[in-house]
Amino acid sequence: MQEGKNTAWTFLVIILSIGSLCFGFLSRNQADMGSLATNKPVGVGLLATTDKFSTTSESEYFFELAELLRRYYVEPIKIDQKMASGAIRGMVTSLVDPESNFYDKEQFQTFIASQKGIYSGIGIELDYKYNQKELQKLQSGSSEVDSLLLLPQIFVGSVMPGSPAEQAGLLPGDEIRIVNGKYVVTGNDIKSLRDLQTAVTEKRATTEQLNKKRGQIEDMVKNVLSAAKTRDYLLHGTESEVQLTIKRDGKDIRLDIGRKITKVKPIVKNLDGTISIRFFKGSTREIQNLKIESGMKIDLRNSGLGEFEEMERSLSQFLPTGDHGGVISPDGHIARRITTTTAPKEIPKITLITDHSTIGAAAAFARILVGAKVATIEGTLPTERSWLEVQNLPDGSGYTLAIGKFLADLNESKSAVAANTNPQKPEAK
Amino acid sequence: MKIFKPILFLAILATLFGIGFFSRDILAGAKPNTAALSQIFSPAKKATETPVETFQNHYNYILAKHGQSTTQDKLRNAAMSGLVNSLGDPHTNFLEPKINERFSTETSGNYSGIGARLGPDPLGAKIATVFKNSPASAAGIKDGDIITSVNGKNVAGKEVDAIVENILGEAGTNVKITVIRAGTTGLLNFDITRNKVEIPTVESKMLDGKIGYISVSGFSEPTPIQFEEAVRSFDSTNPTGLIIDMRGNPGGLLEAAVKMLSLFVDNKPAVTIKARDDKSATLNTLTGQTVRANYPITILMNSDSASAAEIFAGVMRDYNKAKLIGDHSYGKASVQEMRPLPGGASAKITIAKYLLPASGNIGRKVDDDGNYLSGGLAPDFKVEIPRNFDFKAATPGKDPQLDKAIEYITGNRLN
Repeated sequence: MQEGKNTAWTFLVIILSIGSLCFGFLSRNQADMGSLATNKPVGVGLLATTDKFSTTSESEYFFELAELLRRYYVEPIKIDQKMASGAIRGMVTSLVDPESNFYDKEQFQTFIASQKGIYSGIGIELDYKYNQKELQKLQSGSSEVDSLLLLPQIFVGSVMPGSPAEQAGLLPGDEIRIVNGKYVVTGNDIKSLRDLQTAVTEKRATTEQLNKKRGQIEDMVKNVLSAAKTRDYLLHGTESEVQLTIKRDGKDIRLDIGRKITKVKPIVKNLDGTISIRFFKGSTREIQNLKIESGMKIDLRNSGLGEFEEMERSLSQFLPTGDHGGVISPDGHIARRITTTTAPKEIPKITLITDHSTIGAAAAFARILVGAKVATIEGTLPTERSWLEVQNLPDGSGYTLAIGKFLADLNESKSAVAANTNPQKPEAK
Repeated sequence: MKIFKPILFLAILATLFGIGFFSRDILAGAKPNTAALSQIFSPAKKATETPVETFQNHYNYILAKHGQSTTQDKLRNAAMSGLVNSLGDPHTNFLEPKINERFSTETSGNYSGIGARLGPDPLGAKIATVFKNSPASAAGIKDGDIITSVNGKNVAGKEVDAIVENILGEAGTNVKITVIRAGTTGLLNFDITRNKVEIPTVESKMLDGKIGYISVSGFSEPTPIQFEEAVRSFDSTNPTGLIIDMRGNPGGLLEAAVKMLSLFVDNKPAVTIKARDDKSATLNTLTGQTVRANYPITILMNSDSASAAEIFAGVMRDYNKAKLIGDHSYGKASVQEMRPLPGGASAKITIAKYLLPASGNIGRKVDDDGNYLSGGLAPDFKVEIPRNFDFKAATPGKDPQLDKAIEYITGNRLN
């Protein structure tokens, strides 16, 4: 009897001891991974197995890789938010979308300020153009994608009023070629080299011409400026000048432009009686106080990027209640519906002055109003622009994600399925 | 007495919990991370996201919004690359399954090629070295030729790795290569049969004026013996000087470099390998191996001289045994290790750094755009090869870096 009791105790002690050990291990997973920790211990074991890619969840994979680095990297490192931001940067960049951009901490602060109408640098908004053929290849999952042909051309999108760029005579549509002696190498440059090479093969050009071009490109590549760095030079900083070479109508033009803070108001009454509206963060009240009357001319040129949600809120000043189309994601989902629940007493008939410097939220605004037939365009209707959502990350960095394009008539979209569920949006801090 | 037992037992349980909790740290040989402990005992902190949660949330979000233009695998690979790149070390990389597969076939030697080493060029790839007795040299390909197309496909602007992949294939099959050559108008076409190529790492010849020339193209197992033979045979002829050509040498076995240094440096620290947590080991050169070396020695190098090649050159200079001529070396002073990951991917991780006796850390630093900032060995005499120059490696009059080396040796001769 006594012996049996002892055996039972010993057994219990052993169970509790092992249990305690395992509990400790699992608690650590819990501590490191948070709520995503699974019951399956994701430890050393996973690495040794030949698990299929698909059977390992993203979070497990992330954790395993981060853990591997923490354990073996030559410098002591921690699994921190910098790693998460790095991974997110990788994902955003892999989309090769001109409007989906990752910003590090400092860049993101400047970006957020510009959404409020406070511009740094030379006071402009940039615009990117990619080689469409290569981009489609990439998005269709082709392995033949030529990463060099995907280097974007960088253009001046909007020039903000009162900015150093405006004073220096920079115009929307100018292509940025050289900044502070460094070259913006584009897919076009690479393509021109290839075309010349084909010409040599077909004996339409000489090897000397090819060698000369090669030398030029070699110089540029040796002194290359990435798209992200170009943005840094032009849109950041409040001191010193930038030396710029731009291409306008096929000609190179040299400009020296200072950098400072340029504050732009959301609403400006112009001398010619038109009103400039910019959909900056926090502009809703001012737009609400604006009396919208038929025959009014609203100038949307040099609009800046603005904020899409702010623009959406102002729509009830212009539109009758109801649905006004929506944002269609690349796969045909309705990513967002544009609906107004209140409306002005009398629906105004207005004129919008737009051109290629009308970008971001203002471009979407123009398309929505034209789609709802309450506005006519003076100038050119802005090209279809992506609808952007802004995300901030715990370490202070952030990114924009293009979620789709505005479509006035949703019935045009064949698979008009239910709106995408909004994902867990990370809390802003 | 009765109370002690349960208390002791509880203490044991707590200890075991601790061992379990810190097992990750202990296995990794690090100090227990007490910050992690506070994470589970302070519920207030729970409100903040862990890095893993941040990543997962945004992964879901981006996938939901861009499901059509990307795939789960693509997005995950991009994320993992981004995670690794956040360390800012150009030599610590995530190799996705496809790339990893290619990497291992190449290193296992199942591929055959044409027997040439390629370097980057905006028009495609530049032939850095044509190996002796290779299919390429038999066909008449020369150093400095620029490959502009492979099997009829333009390769301008493609990365060297991608071009190499097109050239490699099964032994016995043919590959069509088009090159442009300085001083020749038009394009030259070659049809070359691929074959297994043994890469000779040491080649030597005597130049005019009794100057020995040894070219070392890599550091593999037979390299030290071949190098020693070449050095000793020159040394016994009482030469005017010695030129060791390390241009385009990407490195290889560290031990090989140390053995070779032992011919010139007797029992001195050559390289210190600094691993994590200040664990370091110093490799000394061997005793009693030195040759007379009573003549000036120069080492040729360029921006493709990396790793073991830089260590050899750097140590020689640190002990005042040689002058460096040519261009800045690459600046790779670290050891990497491959670690497998689920699904056939792997991670290449920097696990240690090399320090030279006087030069210290020569690790390459680049800016965000990948432009060179610092690192590598600066040459004692900088000599660049002009563009479109009719360059012929190791040929006096056609190789400005070699010419400078000859000039230096002739001007500093001791006999």
